[in-house]
Amino acid sequence: MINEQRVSLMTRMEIYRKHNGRRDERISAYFMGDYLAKQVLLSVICASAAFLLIAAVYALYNFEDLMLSVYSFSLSGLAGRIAIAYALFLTAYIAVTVIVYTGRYRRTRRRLERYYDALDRLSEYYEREEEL
Amino acid sequence: MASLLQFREKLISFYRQYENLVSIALKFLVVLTAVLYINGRIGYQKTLAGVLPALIITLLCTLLPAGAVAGILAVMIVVHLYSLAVEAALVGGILLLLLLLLYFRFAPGDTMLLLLYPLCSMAGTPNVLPVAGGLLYSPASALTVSTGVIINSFITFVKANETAIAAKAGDEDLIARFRFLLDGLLQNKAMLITILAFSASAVCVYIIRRLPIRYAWYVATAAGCVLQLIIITAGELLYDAGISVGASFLGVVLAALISAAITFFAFNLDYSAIENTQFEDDDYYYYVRAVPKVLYTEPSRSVKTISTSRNAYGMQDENSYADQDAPEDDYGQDEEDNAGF
Repeated sequence: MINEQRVSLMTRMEIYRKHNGRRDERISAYFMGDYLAKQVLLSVICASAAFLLIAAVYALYNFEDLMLSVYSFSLSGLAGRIAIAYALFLTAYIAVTVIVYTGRYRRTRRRLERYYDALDRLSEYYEREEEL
Repeated sequence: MASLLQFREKLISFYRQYENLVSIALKFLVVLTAVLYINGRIGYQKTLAGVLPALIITLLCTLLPAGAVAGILAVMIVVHLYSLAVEAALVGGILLLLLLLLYFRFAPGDTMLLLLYPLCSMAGTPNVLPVAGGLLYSPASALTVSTGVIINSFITFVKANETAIAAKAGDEDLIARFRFLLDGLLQNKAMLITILAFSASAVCVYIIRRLPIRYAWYVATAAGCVLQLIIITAGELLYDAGISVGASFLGVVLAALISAAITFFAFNLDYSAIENTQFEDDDYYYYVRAVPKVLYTEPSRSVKTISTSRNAYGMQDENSYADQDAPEDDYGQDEEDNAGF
């Protein structure tokens, strides 16, 4: 005899697994700190590449002015300004990364908690049927 | 109003019945429009601009997710620009790479708005995209729509100055050509004003539609459209950016109508697709097809009175149903069903 409520619950759980379940399980395999650390590391690489591109574009755009003034400004001052700009850019990018991925991790945990609650209910269905 | 609701439910039923075919057909149309838009504006690579390559690319993209389609279209743009001038391809490539690194890193999931930009632009109403993004997605749609504005502005600039860009390709001054292309992007006041208007509109629509007020979605649509118009008009008056306020007004009006239609179809409806799934337990293999229930039922006719000749003379009819309605079928869903599991 098929228990329709159990089948309904199993169907909903399988629909969740098909759409979000596997990705959510991959994310929840990390502690939140480790997950954020991984995303921040990827963001550092992306932000550094983006900064290099922006710096290259800026240098090409102002190439003539730079070449004219290359002997009149201190390289250490220039390096300092570039370092500060890089630090500010990186900080902003990492801040956005942390905000976005913290939200994603929390939503993932909430979905998984509902899924595990559903697993518990499914287990209760089976136990009840075995008792009968 | 009831007939509109019936029409909506029939449309939704039709979509659910033929969901796979309709989704593929719609995606094909959207991608084809984008490919034709790019080929029509900057189709300098003759091989790629042909009908057959366009169809092949469209068919390929129809099978891919929205992010991959955006990537393929970006490569198409760079290839076309390379045929015009190396500097154009360089600037275009850097621009697209920066957008990839800064924006697609977070992949907000509304890349379809970006793919719809060419279609809306050709229809004269790109203004609908930030409103639709605020209604259906998140405030991050502001970034998606801004990305579309930037790419479209660059393509428009290249198209408008193709002769100058191609002519400069003969010179040796790479830096001058590079600066010319960058200036076309960075000093484009119309683009900056449009980005500001669309971003503000998307955020405004998102905030208002989440408020616990009646007709929140309609109020959000109206507010978003009015805000766009105010910013565009103010920007044009202050900076003389060359934006046609009349065309913007028409675009905003169309955007309001389309957004109202989106609200009518999308608001508070369960758009769960038909799900085919399979699983097993110790006793059975289950092959399940889950079909969402239709929420609106056609009104069933209720018998209020039965007029007979005896009633006409004031005599009571023992079989009168004056106080009874025929029972209606109950298609309502339980609260538990709406809770997910």
